[in-house]
Amino acid sequence: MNAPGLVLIFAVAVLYSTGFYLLLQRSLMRVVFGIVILGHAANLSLMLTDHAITLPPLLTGKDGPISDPLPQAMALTAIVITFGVTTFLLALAYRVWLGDDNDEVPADLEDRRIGRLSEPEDSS
Amino acid sequence: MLLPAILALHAAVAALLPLLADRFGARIFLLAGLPPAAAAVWALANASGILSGAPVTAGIAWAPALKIGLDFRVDGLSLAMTLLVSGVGAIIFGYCAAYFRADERGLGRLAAIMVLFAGSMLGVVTTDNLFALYVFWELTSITSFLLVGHEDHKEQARRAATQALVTTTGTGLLMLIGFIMLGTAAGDYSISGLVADPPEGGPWLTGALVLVLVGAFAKSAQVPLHFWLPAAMVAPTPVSAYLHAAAMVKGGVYLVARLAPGFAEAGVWQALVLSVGLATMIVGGWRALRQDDLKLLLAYGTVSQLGFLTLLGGAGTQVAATAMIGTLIAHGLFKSALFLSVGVIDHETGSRSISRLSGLGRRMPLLAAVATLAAASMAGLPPLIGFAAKEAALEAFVPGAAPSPPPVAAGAMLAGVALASVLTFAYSARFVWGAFAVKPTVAENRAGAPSPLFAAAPVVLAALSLVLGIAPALVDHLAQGYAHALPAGHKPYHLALWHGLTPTLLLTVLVVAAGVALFLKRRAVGRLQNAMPRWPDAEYGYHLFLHGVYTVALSVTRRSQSGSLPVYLGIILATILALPGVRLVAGLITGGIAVPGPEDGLRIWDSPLELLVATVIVVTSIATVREHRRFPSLILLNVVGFGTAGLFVLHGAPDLALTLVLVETLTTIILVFVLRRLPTTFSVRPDGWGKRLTVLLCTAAGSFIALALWLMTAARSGDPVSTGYADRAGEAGGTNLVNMILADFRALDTLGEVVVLVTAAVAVSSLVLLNRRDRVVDESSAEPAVPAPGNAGGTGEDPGPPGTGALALPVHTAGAEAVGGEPAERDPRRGPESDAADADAEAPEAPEAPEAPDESEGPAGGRRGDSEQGEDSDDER
Amino acid sequence: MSGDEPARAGPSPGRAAGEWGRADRSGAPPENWEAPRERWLSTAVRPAFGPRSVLLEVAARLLTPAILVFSVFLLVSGHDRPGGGFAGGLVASMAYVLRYIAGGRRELAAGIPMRPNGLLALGMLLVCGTAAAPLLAGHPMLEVYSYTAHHLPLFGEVKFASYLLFESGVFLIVVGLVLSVVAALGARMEAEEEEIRGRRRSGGAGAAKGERP
Repeated sequence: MNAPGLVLIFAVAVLYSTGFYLLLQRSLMRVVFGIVILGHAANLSLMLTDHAITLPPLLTGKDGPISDPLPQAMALTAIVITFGVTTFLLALAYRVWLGDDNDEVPADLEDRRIGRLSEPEDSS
Repeated sequence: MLLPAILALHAAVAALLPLLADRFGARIFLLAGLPPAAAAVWALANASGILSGAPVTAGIAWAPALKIGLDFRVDGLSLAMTLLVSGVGAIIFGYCAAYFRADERGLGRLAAIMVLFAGSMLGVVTTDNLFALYVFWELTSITSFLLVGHEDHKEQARRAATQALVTTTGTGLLMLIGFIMLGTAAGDYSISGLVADPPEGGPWLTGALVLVLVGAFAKSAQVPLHFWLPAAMVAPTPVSAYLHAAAMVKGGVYLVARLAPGFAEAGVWQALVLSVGLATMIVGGWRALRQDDLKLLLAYGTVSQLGFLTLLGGAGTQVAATAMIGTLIAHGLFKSALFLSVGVIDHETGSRSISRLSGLGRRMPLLAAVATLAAASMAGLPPLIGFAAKEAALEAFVPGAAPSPPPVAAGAMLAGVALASVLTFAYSARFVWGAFAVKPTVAENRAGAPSPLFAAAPVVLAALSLVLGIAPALVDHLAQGYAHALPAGHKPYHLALWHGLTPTLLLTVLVVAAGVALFLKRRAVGRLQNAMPRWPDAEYGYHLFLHGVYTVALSVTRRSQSGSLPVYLGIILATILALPGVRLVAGLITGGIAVPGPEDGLRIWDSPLELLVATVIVVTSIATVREHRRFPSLILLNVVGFGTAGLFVLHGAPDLALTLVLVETLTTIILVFVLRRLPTTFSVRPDGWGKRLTVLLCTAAGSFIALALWLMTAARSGDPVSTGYADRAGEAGGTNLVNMILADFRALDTLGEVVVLVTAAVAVSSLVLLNRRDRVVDESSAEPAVPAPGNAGGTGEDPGPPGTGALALPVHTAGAEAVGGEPAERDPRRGPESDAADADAEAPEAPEAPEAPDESEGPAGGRRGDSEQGEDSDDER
Repeated sequence: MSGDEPARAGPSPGRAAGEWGRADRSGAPPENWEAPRERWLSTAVRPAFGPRSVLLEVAARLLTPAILVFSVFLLVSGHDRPGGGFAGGLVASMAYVLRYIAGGRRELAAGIPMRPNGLLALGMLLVCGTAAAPLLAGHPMLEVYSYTAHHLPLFGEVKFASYLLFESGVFLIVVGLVLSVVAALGARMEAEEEEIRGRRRSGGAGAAKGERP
């Protein structure tokens, strides 16, 4: 089998990198953007399993190879789910903003507190 | 198959007992005693068959593929244990009925757990499957935890219970590992099969045996894991008598004895069992000598006796095994009797401290006689069963009398057993003296004799000690049922009161003499004990261990849980790079992974248009990262999405492109809804090493994924799953394969997907509704500013039919508000049930509510009414 | 219409100070300069963002039916052409989003046939029903039944298949999702904004808070 073109691979690499970068930001909106971009990257990855330019998977009687419909169906599902997740994250970001007046991911205080427990209680 | 039914009976009765506790009080223990009694009767009824060499077996399949099954096999050893566990258990249940008052806390629970414990213990001693054994074993640990911690309002009880649980279940896990190792080595998880055909020796077997023995030792309170047993004496006395004399602590001994026929030859087994048993025996006896609390004295005595039993059970000779069964029965009888006697004393005088008891022998002559009898059995005096057992034990280690162990070890064992016997005699005497003697320095206790029912149980147990002592053949019969499987000595040995003038008899006389001396010189012994340097305390080691675990857990948490989400995600990315990433690079360097060359279809692009679209995607996605203003970055994001859709078009996926364009549009619109409320720019991280590191990490991770994708796609050799779909789509009458897959071939995926969508929708609505609640509480003070007149017309219509042309949320909120915002009379009603803060927060809001139910939640609900009015007026025009 | 509008909205909290966004506060053009004088939409219009716009209102009025018909076309033809339940649902919700943008949340409320939760519920019912129905007949889950009518007047040969029901469920769920989100993140927030602004303008809230309880 042959691999997809390098241009596509490069695009996917950039999408993943930027998605990860946005995901690592403190601003929740940028995290949401990161998820959206990662969604694109993932969908493109699915598409790459069937790379050569071929006819759409429609049985119209035209000659020629058609592209693999299964990754497409999966990507379609993924697109819609990404949409659902994005809206949910948006609502979450909005809620954080309402509480804190900024949309930043707060540090988990509970984790910090556990970490600060340097002196253990007497567990005997 | 009667045995599983008896086990089930335990569970059923346990379920029933709590319901009856209120009605019948402590008498429920008589009912609770029925299942153990049934088990004992069953065991007696089958005894002759079992002892003649035909074990009773039964089995219930559980997970046959994993070789886990509830298999039961009752042979001589199991029979002895069953009689002990269930027979003594039934007697103790009878005693409980007199011991506990009807108003005892959690009586039903206590009785139920005790029955469960009895059932689990019965399971332990009768099962033939290693996994089932482990399950029953841990059930006894858990029920023991609950029983020791019965008085859960006392911190000491909780602590002791936790300690016992941690010690026994923690080591129980090790034991499970050992079981699995043993079973894997033998290819058989049935205990009988394992013992009959033990796996080959070697480090694997050694490791397995050590793990199993650690579990057994902890359960049977062997040094250095013995500390939990004295601490567990906070349990009610009948519980101690049952768990810590007759039943649970015998579990480990049972396991040792059960495996001994197969593994006693193994070097590690000999070394561990003999040394640990010896040490336990002596340490326990020595510590018992200095206890003031009668119950603690007995507890340390139990530790000592358990060491003795381990030693005998693990020795693996016929004489030792005979002695072991004899001691097992003897100990179960006399130690329970003594515990129950202490219970009576405690119950009648309110104390069990040697330094406070005096003259009870005169007040309770019957009890004194019974306890003395039991103590004499413990001390190994004729004509009690304890004497016969101890004779056998000494005989087992007389050099030359037994096939193994080697003479030197046997000599050491003999000396140890003799020493421990001296100590045992001394603390037995001390017990009788401490409990019943008249002490000139202590005021006499004024206590009446216990009721006949109360005293019955110790009497029966002590009488059994005597009867079996006079007729040791009964026990001997039982003992031979187990011992015959082990290598015999020169001549068969039987439990008996009189063997003639043997070296062991001489030894016994010496032991008794030394014991008497030790007892008489108890003050000197006490001074010696006080003068000795304090030994490292095993319990201290336990705390040190717990402390260490806690400290390690904290430091791991502190290092790995910084509380920052980006750091966590970064760690995940770094892990991706560190594990598969490094492997990929290594594979590329060594050539283990094939890189597609030009002949394999290496190419830049499939069509020049691709380059154009890819450039757009790359540029805009990088720009999205660099852009810190919200709307420009949103637009850039949008362009990335449309670019991706363009790639889909180029690659023959019109469905995807269509959907993606639609989704992108909607996402953008919805993002605008939210973004316009947020700050104009996102927060910017200062440039620095942190940022550079993040960029590097993300670039590396993205490149790794893309590279891996490229290589994996190139390496693909199988046909697509969807190969036959075209034909099937033709049959099904559709021509768009993607949609056929979504709606037909793989519709279950779609079903799952729509569930996700519905969940997201509900989640979004509820998140925003949650906001609503907060804001009402926060800002309700401003409510009166909303003028009512504007909605005068709408108010009447407001509760109108929900759902007709109205958005969900306003109606929902109006409903919620109507509850929360109803007139002031609501306040007193809600006050007590909601916490104060809530009530305070709601208070300012209440007065507005009467103006109009919809008004209290502001324009949202009000406007809805308004809008309906608007519609109406529009229609009028 | 436009004359009628301020008259009623006047007393209500959010109207007078131009709550429709920053545009009209900073803006040189007078408020409502591009508001239509005719009535294009079904309710008293208050767009989600910015002032009223004749272009938007006309587009929403004219396009809504067309978009909806197109969405049904995508749904029905999904098995032979690009489209299907997802795409159809997204297109249909597009119509409502357009309407919301043009006419505000009450316009949206007036326009949708049932509450988003109802759409979600109906969709789930359809999807799960279609999935489970074959079980009743002893067939595997999600089995597809089809029937081809060969001589339907006007349409000719038409194929009816149960996956159309399934797809319709998906369609409804997608519409329900988008409408829930618009209702929550758009209409809800807008309402809250109005409310807050109304309170701020009313002033003296703090004093009132002290006296009231």
